[in-house]
Amino acid sequence: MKYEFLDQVTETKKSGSNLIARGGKTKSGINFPDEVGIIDFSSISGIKEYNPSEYTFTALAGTRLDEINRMLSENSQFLPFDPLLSARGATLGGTVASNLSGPMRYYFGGVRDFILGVQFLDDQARAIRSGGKVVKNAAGFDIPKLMVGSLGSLGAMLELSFKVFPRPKNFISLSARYENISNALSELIRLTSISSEILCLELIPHADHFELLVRLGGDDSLFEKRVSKLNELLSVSTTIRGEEESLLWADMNDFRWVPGGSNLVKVPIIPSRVLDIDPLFEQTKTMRRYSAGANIAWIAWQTSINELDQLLKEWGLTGLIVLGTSDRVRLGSMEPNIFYRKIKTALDPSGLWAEV
Amino acid sequence: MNNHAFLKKLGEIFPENRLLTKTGQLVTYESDSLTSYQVRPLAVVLPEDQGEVVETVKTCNEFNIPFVARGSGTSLSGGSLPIAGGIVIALNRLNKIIRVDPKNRIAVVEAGVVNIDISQAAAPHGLYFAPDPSSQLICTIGGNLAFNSGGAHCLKYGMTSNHILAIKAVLPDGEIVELGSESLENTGPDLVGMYVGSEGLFGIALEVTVRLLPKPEAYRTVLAAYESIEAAGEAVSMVIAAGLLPGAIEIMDNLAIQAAESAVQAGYPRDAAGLLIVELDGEELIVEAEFKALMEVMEESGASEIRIAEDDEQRAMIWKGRKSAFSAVGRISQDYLVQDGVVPRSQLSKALGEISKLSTEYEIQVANVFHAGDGNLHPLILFDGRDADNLEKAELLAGKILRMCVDLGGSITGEHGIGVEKLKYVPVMFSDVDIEVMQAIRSQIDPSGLSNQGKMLPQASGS
Repeated sequence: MKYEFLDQVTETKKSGSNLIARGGKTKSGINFPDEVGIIDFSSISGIKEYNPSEYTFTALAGTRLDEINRMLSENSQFLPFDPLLSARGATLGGTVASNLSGPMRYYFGGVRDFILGVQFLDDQARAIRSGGKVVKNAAGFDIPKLMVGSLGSLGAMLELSFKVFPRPKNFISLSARYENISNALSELIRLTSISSEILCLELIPHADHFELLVRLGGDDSLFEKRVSKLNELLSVSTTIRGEEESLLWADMNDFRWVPGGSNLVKVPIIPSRVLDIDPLFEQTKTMRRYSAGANIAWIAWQTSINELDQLLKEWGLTGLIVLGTSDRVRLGSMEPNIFYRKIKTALDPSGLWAEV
Repeated sequence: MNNHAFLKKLGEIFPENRLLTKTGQLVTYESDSLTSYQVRPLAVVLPEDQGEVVETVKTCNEFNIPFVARGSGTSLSGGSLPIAGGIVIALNRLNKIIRVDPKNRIAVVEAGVVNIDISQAAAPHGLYFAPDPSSQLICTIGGNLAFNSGGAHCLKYGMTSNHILAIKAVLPDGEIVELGSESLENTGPDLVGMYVGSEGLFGIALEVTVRLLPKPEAYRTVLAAYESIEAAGEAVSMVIAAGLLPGAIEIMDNLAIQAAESAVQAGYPRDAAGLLIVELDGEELIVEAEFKALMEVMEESGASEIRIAEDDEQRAMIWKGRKSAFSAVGRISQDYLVQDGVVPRSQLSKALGEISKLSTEYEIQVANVFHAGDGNLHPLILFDGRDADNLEKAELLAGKILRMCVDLGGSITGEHGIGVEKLKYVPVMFSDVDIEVMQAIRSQIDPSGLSNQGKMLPQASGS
């Protein structure tokens, strides 16, 4: 392994400073203090292996998601966790480190469900491998999963292996309108328990109504019957197809709905808790979306971030600022976890990799 | 080590009928399902609540006594093999289904709950727990979690790890930690993912929050017979190339077919060299469309016979044969070892050819049952354990198969874990530094190496 930054790792460790790996710089909210050294991974890029018949690939951490998507789509495959910010230049490593999955994670699963293996750099500049390159593997500790959401605090990812799935041939979306969130949420919960293959299930509060957005994928010839079946459940819905449909979801994955000047915060949640938190956001006219069957609240917070921090603490929730200019990154009830602390000590005894 | 004082202390936690120390009581716990390994523990405790487990772990720490948690003892890698001089903490009575929450599609259960019981508790809500190891009628969620168990439906649904949202665990030093949340998402490192599959080296899971899925609306299960095992393997490639993602794709060879037929009379064609089971599941309209595509592939695949399960009973019978295959092999051989190495799917035929050659070379029969969609082999190596040479030969053959899996770009274990059985093959898959890092993690979490000592990591600290 010949990477120019190996010396940077050794030198930084000697100096007692901190380092962090950075890829496409697309997540403006995940900021590190100025004194933290940066390893620029944007050029550590490229697909190392791709076996369409295996549904797996291995790529360097700085590889852009749009490059991976292009490669996969040539073989009618895709990244089922529906990565975010790929149009803005997000990289594979950054996506793993920040644990960002898009609306289709509702049906297929998130980043954690598709990562197979990792090679990462430890604080001694050693390349460590964990996991594998085949779709099933139970050998050794699952460090690849540990890296998901680690924000680079446990080492710098060099190379990642993933499994992929066949891409649905076509998509169609349904939009249903509700006067109040209770009705929209009840319908959402009803939809989560039926066996229809709903790929995305989003609850979107608007200024004067609430919308449920449902996305189906598959064979075009089945959509009419499938939509009609769903319409027996949904109150009133309109159908969205073709380019309009693709753009709708592409914009969503690129967070085009987020007003400038706000901090976009990811808040993991469960459907039954939406009613606990939404009235406050409605009152403050905060733009927000409940994604992945209301398992993620995306909050575009426009006032003091400390206020949101306090609210999340009161609600017993956590938050991650993904886009924004705050000097905070994590919000809410982040209890110190002794299990994490022990792992951090084992993987990074010198405390080289910065934590936020 | 003061065993008398230690047992006396345990006696303060457990009544006599839940602290087993007599030889006759301990024999049952000497082995798990890897019966060629036996170790008699110092004692076995049968906790009935989480507090008793925590107190036991703390007591083990106080006296520096190793411990192993055990559910139903179905590990095929010796994962719950007792430790000499240590105790077994048997968790079967920790079996409360604390909560089924259909609105949020989760269930919170204790570690000793049997896998199938979760699906049964969720069934009134139209939900189920997807991971389905062959032993799901008896294996416990704690064991599934510790070894990241798989099953027939991993291709589409993933392994145990993909269905665990949160864990309450006691660390090896007695400290309680809560990992994950009820949500599908988190904002920190995936500590749940790290804990699952750690083979008991990070302490004992007490309470687990699992993700439930809507029960598939429809199934289509197809059984096809082939004149060679390679042809069955080729059919798998054709199914995958067609862009289908079945819930399960399984293959059995003739020896496994014979064994299963003798045991449960599933109605398999006894003369087939290879038997392929493909199951589609999900939304009815989609399953029916995929079924048409699947049948086109199957009809072109050179199958000598194709059967379609017409109802739930026939589907259940097809699966009964497959899921009983391991125990059925016990009817045709005194003993057997089962390996679960993984190869890239495209290397399946090559791997089967190699296994066949090795079987001839070592003069040992090997029955093959495997999760073909995942490339997850299950060669059942038949031997007579009364003959020490025969066991040694069987182990050598098993080792060759594992090395072959790694050489072909795969793994030494897809779902059974390393346990004690594959310890010596860890360096085949991982470099010294990779192992050193795992040992460093283990040492931080369990400096005395008490929790499931001697499993997963070769020369681990304290082992």
